[in-house]
Parts: sequence; structure tokens; C-alpha cells
Amino acid sequence: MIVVAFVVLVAMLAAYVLLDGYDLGAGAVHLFVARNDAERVAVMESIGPYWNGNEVWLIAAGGALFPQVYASSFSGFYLPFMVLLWLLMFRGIAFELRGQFPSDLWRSFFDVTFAVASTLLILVLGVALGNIVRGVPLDAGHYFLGTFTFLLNPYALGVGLLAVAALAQHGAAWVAARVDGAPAARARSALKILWPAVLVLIAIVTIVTFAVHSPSANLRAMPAIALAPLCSAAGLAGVAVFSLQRRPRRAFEASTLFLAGLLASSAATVYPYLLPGYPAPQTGLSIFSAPAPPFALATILPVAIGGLIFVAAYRTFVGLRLNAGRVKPR
Amino acid sequence: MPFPYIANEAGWVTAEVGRQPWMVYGLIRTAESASPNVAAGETVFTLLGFAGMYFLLGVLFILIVLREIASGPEHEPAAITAAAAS
Repeated sequence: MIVVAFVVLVAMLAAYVLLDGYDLGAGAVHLFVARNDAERVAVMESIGPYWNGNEVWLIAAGGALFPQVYASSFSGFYLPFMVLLWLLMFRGIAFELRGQFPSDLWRSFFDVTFAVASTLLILVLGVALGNIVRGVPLDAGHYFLGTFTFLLNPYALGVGLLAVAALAQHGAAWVAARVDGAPAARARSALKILWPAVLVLIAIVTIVTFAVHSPSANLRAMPAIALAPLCSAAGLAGVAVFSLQRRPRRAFEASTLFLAGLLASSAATVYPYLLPGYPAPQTGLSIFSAPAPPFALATILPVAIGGLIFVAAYRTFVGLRLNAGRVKPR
Repeated sequence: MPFPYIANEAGWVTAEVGRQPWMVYGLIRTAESASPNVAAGETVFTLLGFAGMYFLLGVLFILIVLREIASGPEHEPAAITAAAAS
């Protein structure tokens, strides 16, 4: 049952990255793909109906966290989490306030806010993922012993850069598929730069991961998890192939597969830890050392899984209904 | 216009202050619930950050609401006609 809870948590985090990933990514490439007011409005309108709902997956995943991990991480990473919250707030404000005054200065201020906050959010989330894979120093009471600067280690920063490149690619693929005219053309040329960058970064990060937190023991125990990186590789290849064939929808779907495989690989590497210790993973929190009380788990899991299926079905329905067209810059 | 806001905030303050010194009434005290590994300086920093941010948002909110009021309900007649026609 604990393993099921772990899978639910990973599924929620993955849903967050796949869904909020494209609107964060669209924000990261916003200033580049959209140059005038009409184009910028079009890019924002293309994600307008979705971004708020997409963000809720992060909150849902936070709620699905194991209690001890929740306690350890929220007090240990107090400052980074607050910075994350402020960035989320700035991004939301940019969406809501941009159109309120017909002033060029006002609008370009919020365009820059939107782009910078989106990019930094991806970086912070990527650095967080890097630290989760690498492990963090925890004492016997599971209090975080490190400092803010400990979290900014080369491996985590590398994962952060990969996250920025991968989600910028995801966002550019979204713009190429869902916006018409000049922004789509610029998004296609952005993909030509982002794709090789993602390829180089993923190669480096994959190799270094084997030194930092080797997945080989998990691989031996359960060879089926090798499917995750294979899906990821197929997705990344698909992004290039479909982009060259000018099939932007397929390229976006391939980018989704790439990210899903990447997250499943990360989860398979970290399992059974939720917050591995550093330098020895055993000092950290695993799903077995930090479970919720069995009664709470037995109550919440059916509700969570039912809710997950319902929300995913509704999101798919809405996605398909709204999926008809592309936003034209007016 | 400000009265609903005052009532809302006053109710919230009553609930929060009235519950002290408990964080969760009868279960855990506020003093016990502070994280030992979050420094006072960090909370001062975030408190100032939130204060600054909410001040900015409050000013923007008032500006935008006053502007909406000044420009008047220009879209209302059209909406009513559309509703009556349908």
C-alpha cells in the first residue's frame, strides 16, 4: 500500500510537470517568440484557460506528501519554498494585471515579470529535483542540517539547467502547436536551438547521476524500470522528427512523453527514498521509514485515487473540447 | 464599499487572536509549533517580503477598483439587451 502511495505521489508530480511545464515553458520563451502586443496576448491566451488548473497539481502533490517528509522539507527548505511561492505569485499577478492598463510600460513590465518568474520557477524546481536525487543532510530527528548554499551544488544546478532547457522546449512546442503566425514560426526556430541543448544536458546529467545516486541496484531489482528512460529517449527523438516534419501537435506530444519518461526515471532512481540522506542515502526518509498512519493511508488512498481519475478524466475532456484551434494574434 | 472587507478581516483576526496561545486548540501551542531549524532572521525576511508584496497588491487593487468605478458600468446595458433577446 505504501508503494501505491508513492506511485500516486509521483503521478501527481508528473502531472504537474507535464501540464504546468508547458505554460511555464511558454513563459520562458515568451519574450523571444512574441515580439509585439498582439503576439504576446496570443501566447498568454493560449495558456490562459489552463495555467491556473495546472498549478493546482503542485498543491495536490504537496498534500499527498508523506507527513514526515512534508515537515522536514517545509522547515528545512523554508527560504527556497517562500521564494518559490513569491515567484508563483508574481507570475499569477502578471497574468491578471497585464491587460488592466493600456500603457506600453505597464505591459512590457508584466511581460518581463511573466518571463523571468516562469524561468526562475523552472530553475528552482529543477534544482529541487536535483537535490532530491542527490540527497540532503538530515540528522536523526530528520531536521535539515545544510544551508541554502548547500542546495546550490553543481549537480542540482545542472539538473536545474536541464529543467529550464527541457521545459523551454516543451513550451516552444506548445506555442508552435497552439499559436498561429509569427510566434509559431519563432517557436520552431527556438526548438532548433533548444533541442540540441536538451540533448547535451540530458547526456551529462544522466552520466553524472550514476556517480551521484546510482540507479543500478533498482535496475537489477526491477529491470522493467529501464522502460522509463527508453520512453524518454523515444520522446526526445520524436520532438526532432515531428518538428522537422512540421507536425507540431505530434512534437508536443513527443515532448510530453520525453518529460514523463524523465520523471519516471528520476522516481525509479530515488525509490524507495522520498528524501535521501547525504552523503549516505540511508540517513534520509524513505517510504517505509516515513509512512502515514495505516488508517489514514487506507482512508486517503481510495479517495486520492478516485479523485485523481476523476480530475484526469475531466481535464482530458476539457482539453479535447478546447483543443480545436490555434490562437491567432489579433 | 469598504465595510464588507472590514467585517471579513475583523472576523479573521478574531479567530486567529482568540485561539492563542493554541495553534490547534487544545492540541499544540503556538510556541511548540515553531520549527527549530528556521532562523528568526529568515522569518523576518519573509514577513517583510509578504508585507511589501501585499502592500503593492493592495495599492494596485485600490487603483484598479477606483478606475473601474470611475469608468462606470458601460457593458451592462448591452448584457441586459443580449439576455432579454435570448
